[in-house]
Amino acid sequence: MTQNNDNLSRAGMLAGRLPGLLLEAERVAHSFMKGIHGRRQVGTGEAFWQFRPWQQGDASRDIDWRQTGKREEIFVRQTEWEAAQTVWLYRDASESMNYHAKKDYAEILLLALGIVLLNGGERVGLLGTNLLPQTGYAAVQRIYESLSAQTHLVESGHTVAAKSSVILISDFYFPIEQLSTFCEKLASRDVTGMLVQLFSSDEQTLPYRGRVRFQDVEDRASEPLLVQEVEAIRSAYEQKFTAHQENLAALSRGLGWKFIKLSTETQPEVAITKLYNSLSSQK
Amino acid sequence: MFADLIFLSPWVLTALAAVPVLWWMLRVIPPRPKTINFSAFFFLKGLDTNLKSAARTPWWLLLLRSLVVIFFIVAFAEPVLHPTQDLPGGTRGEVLMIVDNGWAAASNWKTREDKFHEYLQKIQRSGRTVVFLPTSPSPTDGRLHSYGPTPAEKGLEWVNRLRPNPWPADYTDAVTLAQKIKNEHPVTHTVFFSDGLAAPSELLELVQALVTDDSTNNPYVLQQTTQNTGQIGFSLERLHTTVQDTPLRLLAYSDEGTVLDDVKINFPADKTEHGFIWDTLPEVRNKTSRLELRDPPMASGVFLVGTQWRQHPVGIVATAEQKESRDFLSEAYYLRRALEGNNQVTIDQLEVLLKLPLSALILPDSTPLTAAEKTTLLAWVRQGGFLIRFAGSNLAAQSEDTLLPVMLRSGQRTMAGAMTWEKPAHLGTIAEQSPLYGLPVPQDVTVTRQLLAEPSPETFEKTWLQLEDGTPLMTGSKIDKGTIVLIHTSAGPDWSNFCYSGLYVESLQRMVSLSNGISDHKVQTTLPPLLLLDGFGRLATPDSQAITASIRPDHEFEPSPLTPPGIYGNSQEFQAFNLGSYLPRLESLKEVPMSITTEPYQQTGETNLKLPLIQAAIILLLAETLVTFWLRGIIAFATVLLAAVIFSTPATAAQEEKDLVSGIYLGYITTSDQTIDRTSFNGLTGLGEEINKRTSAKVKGVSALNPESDQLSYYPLIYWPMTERQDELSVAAARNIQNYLSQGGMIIFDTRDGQFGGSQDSATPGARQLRKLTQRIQIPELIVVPSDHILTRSFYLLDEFPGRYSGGKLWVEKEPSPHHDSVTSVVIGDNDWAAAWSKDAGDQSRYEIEPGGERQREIAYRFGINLVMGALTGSYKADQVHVPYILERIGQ
Repeated sequence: MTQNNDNLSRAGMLAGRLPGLLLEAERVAHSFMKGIHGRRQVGTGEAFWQFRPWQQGDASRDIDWRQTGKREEIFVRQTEWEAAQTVWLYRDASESMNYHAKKDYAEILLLALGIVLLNGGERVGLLGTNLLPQTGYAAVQRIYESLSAQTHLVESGHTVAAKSSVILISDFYFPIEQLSTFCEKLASRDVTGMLVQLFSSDEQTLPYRGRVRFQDVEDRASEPLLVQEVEAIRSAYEQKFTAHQENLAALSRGLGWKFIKLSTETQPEVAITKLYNSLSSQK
Repeated sequence: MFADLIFLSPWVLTALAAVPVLWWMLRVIPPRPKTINFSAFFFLKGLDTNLKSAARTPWWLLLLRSLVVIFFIVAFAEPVLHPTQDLPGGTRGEVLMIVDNGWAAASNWKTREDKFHEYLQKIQRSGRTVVFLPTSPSPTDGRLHSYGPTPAEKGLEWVNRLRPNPWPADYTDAVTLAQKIKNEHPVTHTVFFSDGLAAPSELLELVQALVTDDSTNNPYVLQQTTQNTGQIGFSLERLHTTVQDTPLRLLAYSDEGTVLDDVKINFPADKTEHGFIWDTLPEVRNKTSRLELRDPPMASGVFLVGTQWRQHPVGIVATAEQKESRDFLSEAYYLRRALEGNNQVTIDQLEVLLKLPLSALILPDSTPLTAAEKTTLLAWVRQGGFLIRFAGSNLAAQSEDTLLPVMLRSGQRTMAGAMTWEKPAHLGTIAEQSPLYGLPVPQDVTVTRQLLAEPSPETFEKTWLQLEDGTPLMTGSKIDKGTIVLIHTSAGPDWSNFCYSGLYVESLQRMVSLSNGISDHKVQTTLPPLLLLDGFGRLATPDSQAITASIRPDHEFEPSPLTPPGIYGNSQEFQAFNLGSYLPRLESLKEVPMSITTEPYQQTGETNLKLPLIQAAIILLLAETLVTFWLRGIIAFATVLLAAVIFSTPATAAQEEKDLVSGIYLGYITTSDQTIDRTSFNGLTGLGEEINKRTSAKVKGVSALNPESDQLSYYPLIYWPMTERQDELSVAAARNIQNYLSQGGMIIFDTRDGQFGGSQDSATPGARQLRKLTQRIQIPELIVVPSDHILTRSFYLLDEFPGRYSGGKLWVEKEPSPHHDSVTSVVIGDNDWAAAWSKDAGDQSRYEIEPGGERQREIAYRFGINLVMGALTGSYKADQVHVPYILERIGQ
């Protein structure tokens, strides 16, 4: 429990930095001021989008008198169109995620993302739980409390509405077919998504030597695998690992989703920026 | 190199056959796998787990492991490099070791001991027991004793206690005893450790092996050959010639053990005898009590002087009134001035003088003697006394006098005066038969009055010095054992100016040195042993266990257990008996029968390689373990490297920095004189050892300090010896010292000149130096240490503070500041304490203590301990003084 509480506070700390990040983003690109992913078109919203010379048919209440006063033309103030969206978050809770504390990392990432999204006015849901999609910053606590209920990658509880988004954080150490059926079902409902693969460097490079007995953590009862010499199989292992990543990338490409590889060595701050940028960049 | 390598347990080597088996086993039995709970097991599925890379176990690791095993096996086979030949005679019975330990064996005794050890090892190896037979009689009963049979280990103890004796071997007894041993015990091998001197063939017949070589068996014998005034001839004899000239050093020591002269002799290589003259000042000669060959240290290389070169105490006969007078015109004044430079001069009445051991008496004319006194004086002369008389008006007035070498004409001859035409006479020549021959005759001496001798044939023979006209000025003749000399003019300036001349002084001294010295005229019946030489030529008081006896001087001396060489008599009258003077010509061991195997004393350099091999194996084993751990991933490569670095770093490199604050360090101020610095260091180290041994204070070390640059405040006590060549203190140094003193430090200044007596006398060099050095430092007011001072009771109760010298005064601060616990900040004395505390037995850094010897050294240590305790505990002990009063008050 304390572990989880700790995760929450760390997530809060991470999220707390993001307004600064947003400000920075605002300075760099005028495009989005509010929300994580503005529509980048004129619409009903609070954020300023652009001034435009008055045209026939524009309501007089839209005239920005200050701008008009500065210039010789009449200007109309337009705001960016915003629409709240539901983002469904998921982190893998399987045994393999406990290796090198990947699960902790994933939860921090998930909660931080939740905070950012809630702050941006989005609705956030936890995939595979009974929690209704939440709004408002205060909902982070509820998300956090329901996190333990999220055990499997299933679309139970509340169904993922069309046109919403899913973010899946996992190591994806299971056959790709299991994932593709799940994702394709969502994609068919016009759900966009992002696959975030978390791995530790040990899993990537297999840095052991000599005779090693490997025990599958997912299935403790299974027979351990005795490798006579790890060095001999290392390159084959690395190939398989990379091939899996390519498969994941191919899958997400095919669905129009995004795929991000994250090593646990990456700083969570960097990781969340990466995720955020990836989320907000519209294809 | 390994040509002469043998294995003591060769059967162990068969285990080497097991090494290939081990190799095979290492290959077949893989190491236990490490278990890893792995998350990405998903990817491992379907991989070929039996795949092996070509180089599985590195070949060098296998080699390393094999080497470890091989090293261990070889080590336990006990390889010995350059092995010595096994002793003949099998593995049963006894080995008889006949060991020369007469005076000649003292040369290279250490080499001999090493050889004994080597032999004992061999005996132990062959499983036999050993019987020892030393060839020189035991000091405790004067007879030969064998030792054993005993196992070699016990024999080792005996050999380590064996010492050479300062008397010759007794081969007659040795042969008898050796035969007896051979009859009684199953002796399977006999070896004779010769000292190189000739041994009887009967002994050699009993022997199978002989250990001797010329370089080890080369004893030196020092003998006095001639003695002229000022020059003393010596001869050095040795047994064998050498390849190169041998540089030798002969040290002359005073009674107090100070080195007076260092004579360097070059013994020509092709000679066995070498004579040389010791040319030295009479003062040095007079003070010399022994001459000692520095190397090899042996009794035959020591020449004990005894009394023959000693100061000749002279008495000047005077009346009671004359004794007190300091009159320039008195004869006694001139005589005293002429003699006191080299002789001990006593001016007193005759009856007093005759009770003293004097070698010569001088009777000035002005001293009247009664007839009875003349008779006793004559008796004294007859016993061997030396009387020097001076003429004068009293003698001229006397008609008859027996105390004269020649008959005198009555009346005096006056050569210059109102009533004579004659001119004052000049001095003539000194005849060859005269004892004064060789002294320069000054031309400016004139004699105005003299007493004339009755001309006779004997007068010419008795004339020692004559005037230019041929009349005798000095006559002398033997009367029984003694001599009477008459100077035919006055001792003072009344009759001539002879007393102003150099000849006056020289002739008097010559005459006094002719006097036989004090012991000859008093025949002592027996002389008890006073100080005896041991085999290495060291003087020591007679051992209570020894059977030494008194010597009758009229009997011929023979060095033996009963009468070892040394000094006999009492502290007033003694006689030296030197080993060298009583030894026959050296004769070396020759005609060794062919049946005897001969080997040198030099070690063959047998080296047992067992220990080095085991060490190497253990180091390899450690390396192997580290490497294996690294291969199995238990430790990182960096750790292996680190361990390698740690192992390869020599321990000395990681020498600990002194943590001055963690313990007590004593300091001394360095001087420009390295000898003194070394003495200071050795002294404080010795004192520190004593403190650690006797008290609960723990002195950790000693530091050399430069007052200019070093931080002094770490040191509770700083020792500061004075030398003449110390520079004045710089301002910085003075400030540093002043700071140290004002912060409660303690400095002991040692002027080291207690032999001159008293540092309060500003004339001593040390005191001058102290004044010069300390003029920049504010030294508080000083007093001579009071009897109830803290230094007299801070650990030991002391009433004197001797060092190498004793008797000097010790000065301390008069009113020590209460801020510093009323501990005196300076202590000033002159007793050269560091020299007394110095413990190093090597070289010259251990000093002899005068006059109190080892007892005085002990007191010196006690003073040192008091000093340090005083510095450390402050007034704590001073308060203890008040304990009775405090208890009394508590009682109320």
